[in-house]
Amino acid sequence: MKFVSIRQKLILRVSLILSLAFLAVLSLVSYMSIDISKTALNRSEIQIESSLIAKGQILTQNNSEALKGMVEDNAFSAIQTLVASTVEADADILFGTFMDMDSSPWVMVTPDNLTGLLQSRETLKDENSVWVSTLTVPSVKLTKIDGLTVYLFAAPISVDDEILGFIQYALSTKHMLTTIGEARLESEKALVRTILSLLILGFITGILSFIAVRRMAIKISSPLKTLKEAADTISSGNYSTSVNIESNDEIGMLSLNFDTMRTTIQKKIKDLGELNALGQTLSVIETERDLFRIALINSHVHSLATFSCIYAESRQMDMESQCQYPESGDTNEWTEAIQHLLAEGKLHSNTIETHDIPIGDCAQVAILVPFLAGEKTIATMLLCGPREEIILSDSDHEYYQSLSQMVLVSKRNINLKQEIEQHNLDLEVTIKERTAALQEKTNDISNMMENMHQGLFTITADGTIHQEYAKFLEQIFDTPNIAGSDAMDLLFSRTALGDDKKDQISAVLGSLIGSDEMMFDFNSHLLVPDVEIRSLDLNPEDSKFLELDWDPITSNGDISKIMVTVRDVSAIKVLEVEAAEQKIELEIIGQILAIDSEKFENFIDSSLYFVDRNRILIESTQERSTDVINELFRNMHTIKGNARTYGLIHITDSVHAAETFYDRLRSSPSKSWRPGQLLSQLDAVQQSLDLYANTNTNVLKRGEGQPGSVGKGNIVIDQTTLSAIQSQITSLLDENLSKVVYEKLDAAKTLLGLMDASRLEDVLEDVCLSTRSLAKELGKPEPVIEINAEGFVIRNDSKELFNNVCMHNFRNSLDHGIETAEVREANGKSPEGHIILDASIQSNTLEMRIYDDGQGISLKKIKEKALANGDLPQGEEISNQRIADCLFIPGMSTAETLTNISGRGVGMDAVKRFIEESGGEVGIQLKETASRDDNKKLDLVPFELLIKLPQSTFIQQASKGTGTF
Amino acid sequence: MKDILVIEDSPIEAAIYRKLLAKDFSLTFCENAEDALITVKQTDFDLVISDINLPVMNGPEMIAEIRKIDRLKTLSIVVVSSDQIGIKRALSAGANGWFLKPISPKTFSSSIHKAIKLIPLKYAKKIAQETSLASNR
Repeated sequence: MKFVSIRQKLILRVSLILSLAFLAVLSLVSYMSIDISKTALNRSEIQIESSLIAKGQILTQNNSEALKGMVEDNAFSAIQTLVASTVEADADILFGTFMDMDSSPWVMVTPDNLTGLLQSRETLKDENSVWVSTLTVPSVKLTKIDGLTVYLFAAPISVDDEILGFIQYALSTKHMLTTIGEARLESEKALVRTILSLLILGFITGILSFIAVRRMAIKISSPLKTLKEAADTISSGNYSTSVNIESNDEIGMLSLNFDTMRTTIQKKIKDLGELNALGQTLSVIETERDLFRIALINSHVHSLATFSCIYAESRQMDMESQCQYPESGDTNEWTEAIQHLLAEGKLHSNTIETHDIPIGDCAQVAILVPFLAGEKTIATMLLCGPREEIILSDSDHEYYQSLSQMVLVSKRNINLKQEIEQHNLDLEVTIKERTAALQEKTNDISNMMENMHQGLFTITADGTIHQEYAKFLEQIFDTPNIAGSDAMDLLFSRTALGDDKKDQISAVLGSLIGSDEMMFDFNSHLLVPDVEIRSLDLNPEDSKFLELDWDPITSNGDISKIMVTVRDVSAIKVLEVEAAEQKIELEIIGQILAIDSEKFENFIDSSLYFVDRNRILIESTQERSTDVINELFRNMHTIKGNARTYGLIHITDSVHAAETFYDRLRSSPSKSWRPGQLLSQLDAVQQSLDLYANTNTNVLKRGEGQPGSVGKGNIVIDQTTLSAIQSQITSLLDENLSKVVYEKLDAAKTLLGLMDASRLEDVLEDVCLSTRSLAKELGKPEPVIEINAEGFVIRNDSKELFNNVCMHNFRNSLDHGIETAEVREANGKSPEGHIILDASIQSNTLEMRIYDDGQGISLKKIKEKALANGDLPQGEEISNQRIADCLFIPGMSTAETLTNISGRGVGMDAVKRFIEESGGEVGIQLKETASRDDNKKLDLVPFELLIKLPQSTFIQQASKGTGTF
Repeated sequence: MKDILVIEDSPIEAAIYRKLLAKDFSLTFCENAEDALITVKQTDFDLVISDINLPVMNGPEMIAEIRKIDRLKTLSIVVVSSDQIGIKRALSAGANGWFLKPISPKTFSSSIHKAIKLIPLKYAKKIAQETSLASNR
């Protein structure tokens, strides 16, 4: 904005206002003068006009009266003289005419014809003459003649009501207008004069007032100019020039304030300079004590105090300090007074303020400056002196405030610096310790890596092997310096692992590094746990089995590397195989030792017998034969049953395989007869039997009966020796012997026979045990097996028969007959089943009844099956007994699902065969229950198995024996 | 029972997921990413399991779309991929975890349990770390 001085503005504005006022007055006066003269002119115009009209009327009137007689007398010349003189006498009359009543003019006086004599008296036919001729009374008419405005005055001249002629005079306004024009000119002249004198007057006044205004403006603005110059001086940095304007008005006040302001600023600048210098000093001070001392000295000088001191609020800070002026002055009275006030707790404030200090009669005062850390005062500074010298102005207030803040900031900086130094010191120590520990650890690790007998390395983000790896790896892979080489190559290039699998592993490893550790759990199943690597010379004997452990190394929850542990387990593999063999051998030994030696040998003998029998059957059969298959199956099933009874589990596996194969062969007629396959199966069974037999003889040194060896009061007689003696006695008995000899020999034979016999309960001990363990497998309570035998013992060479028969039947009873505990209880039975064997001698025959309290057999199912197999004729009425007898047909089973235990229908046909081979017989006896209706009768019927065995199987005794297991 | 959304276009693989997970989780199936985007906006899931190769819009593209929605920024998403590239793309699109095919039938269900439990925790931890880093700056 352009600078325009107030003086200039004042002059311009006031002059403008004066000029405008003058112009307005001038315009008003002019307007009024013009208006007045115009009105006066108009009025005189009207007056002149009306006097003209009056003059015309009077003239015409007079003339008409005067003419009356003249016209009557026809005094033409008198008329002519009158009219001519009238016209001549008045300059206003334009013309005058007398005409008779026929409009014929007698006299017509005009300025051109002042005599009014006419050459011709032609009738006047102009518009005005016509108008005149019609008049009966004097009239006046305004008209125009030759461009002049004319008042036409006319009057008829009548004598005795007879109109004799007409007189007319035309009076022109020309003279009147000239008069008016002159009057107007005169008034305009007067107006111009008035305006001119006004202008002159105005100009003179203007000049005079401008001078006055200018003078006034200069007077008002000159102190302002002085102020402006002072401000310019201050703004250029000079605060020392004072402003002094003597004036009793606002300007005077302003200049006074301005000067106060100048001094305040000057002080502020000085304070600021002091504070700045103080700040610089404080910034290099290193102790709190010095900090406060410097602050005190500064404040002391600043406040012009006589005595100053600073004291800490808390005893923890040691920084009391004082100074005084003059330096030689006595400080004791000050310190005493201050101590006194301090003790009363009066010198405590959170704000900067003044406080009275009474010293004797003098009015002394102190400025209190608190140093505030937050809201807590940590120290207070006192600046003391006489009341008139110690002044706490606003700027001082600010000065002390800034100073205290500065001191506190510096104090904080010092504290912080000390803390950081201490911290750095601690940190240095820690780093030294850590570095040493790390060095130690690194050494340990590299030692371990050098010496450990395991391959250990880590895979880095780019899939290569980290430089720190176990040296043993080089030995495992026959490769030196594997650091930095590709991990996948090292691990898998010499394996039979497929490319697909390798890609998987590579993808997993690639994706895992950088992923969350959880991803390792999700995907580690894709990393192979072991691998076989070919040796460099490709010799299969030298290939190595390696076990691989994969572990993620994480940092902040993300996988940074994958650690791989490689173990060469080639040697362990070999050992494992050996250990497995030893384990089996130990198991076999355990199983053999659990069985009575004799029983074991019996088992081996009978089993080998059945195997031989099957071998002969297979070799002698060229084509598929159901009977042969049935017998093969029966034999194998018996071996299996016995093996299970004794818990010889390594036999049951191979036997079960053979048996299952036979069963499939039997049930699908389309399968062809393949002796080779059957024989190799049989070899497997034979091998497993031989394994047991060899273990028994070679490892346990059992099986060879040791004749003549003596136990505690007992003797052991070799089975064959016993049999030989027995057969010799039997042949002797056939000789014709004396009764005494016969009886003695017979007694000896019975005794020997008893030596070679066992009680039925003992014989069946194993079967009972096996049945009970079966109950566990089936989830049924152990059954009560009741054996009621009296008056006989079983020949040892028939033990197998009883074992086989009872085992099948007990097992069948438990599996098919006896219900589950829940079903039994629901039917009002005891939860455990009962299996009962009643045996007695009836006329040299051993009669055995085997039955149970189970649900019985399902005749309906047997019938359906037999009908389907074609074992029963269709459409005939068939007795229940005949249906039940079908149980002895090979392959008949009532169980809906085949179990591993029984239920293949083998039991009964095998039983029947064994019994018949020993010369005995077997049959089923159904028990009829009256309460059952026909349908139920056909469904589940209780039954007994009735077995008769010849004398060759037992030895009759006088005594009775009953046993319950 | 936790809710899982499975996005899988192959009926055979969908059947495998059903067999492995239906016992422990409540499953919802989508055959393509478009359906999945609609479903995921309407329902709250505890976890999303997605295939990589889907018709029209593929898995990573879908995940990027999901992450544009404020409410779904913290939704746990895992992918099942047949290669490393798929995993990489899925992770950069915002997936929280991955399975490389073939998945292990034995451990898959337990892994999913773990993912549902831990991914939100890890996510919260990561956010906390990032905000504390940001405030330190």
